[in-house]
Amino acid sequence: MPRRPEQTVAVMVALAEQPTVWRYGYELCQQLDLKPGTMYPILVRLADRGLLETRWDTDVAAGRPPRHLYRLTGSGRALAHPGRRGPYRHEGPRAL
Amino acid sequence: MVLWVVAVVIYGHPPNPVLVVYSTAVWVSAALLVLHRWWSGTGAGLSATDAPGRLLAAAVAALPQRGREWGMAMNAELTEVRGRSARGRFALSSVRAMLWLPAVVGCRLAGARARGRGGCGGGTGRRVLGRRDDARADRIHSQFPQVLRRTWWPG
Repeated sequence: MPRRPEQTVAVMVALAEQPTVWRYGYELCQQLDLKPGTMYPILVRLADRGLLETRWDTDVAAGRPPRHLYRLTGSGRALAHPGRRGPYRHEGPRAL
Repeated sequence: MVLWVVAVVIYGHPPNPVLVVYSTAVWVSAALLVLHRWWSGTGAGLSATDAPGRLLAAAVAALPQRGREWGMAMNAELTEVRGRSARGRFALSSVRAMLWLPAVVGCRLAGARARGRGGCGGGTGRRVLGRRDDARADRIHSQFPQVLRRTWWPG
């Protein structure tokens, strides 16, 4: 499967928009207009490299399976915002 | 009505009214049954009953243990996808991802063995995978026709 770095970057940027919010895979697919066949290998690689943390959302309707949630780790956030130093802090839009 | 016309054309006289009522009732019941089946299939239990759901569930079952979590994640997301064609596209694309999952997930393990040789990055891909990971990925790929068969002809 060919790897496209710009798609990986787009996923990281999308996750970094709201770094503390847990996101669903399908939600990310819709936001970035990526197919799951593209999105999930990217998520797997990011998680394997410690850039993405995952957890199961068990707070779902009865009869539905728990959903997987994703957000960037500290390393992931640092990579998404290379200008930042030290622990990640959400500073909001920077004044010009 | 159709039966009435056919009977008049073929036999030259109208059919027995009881037969007309009976056959009409059978056809209407069958149509209602099909409609009910189709309508109930659009609800929450669709992923477990429709073809995309079965395809994905079978593909997840064929995954090795360490990749199954990701397969289950894709399967869970399918329950949120609405529309028959959208679900079909989502399922097919997810299966495509699953076919590559053993190689992708195997990268971390192989990377530990191949430390100092560039890991899995930079397009080294399957070259850095161990022989066991390659064999497992090949086994999954070879299981794919069986997965399809189980999906489309369950039981």
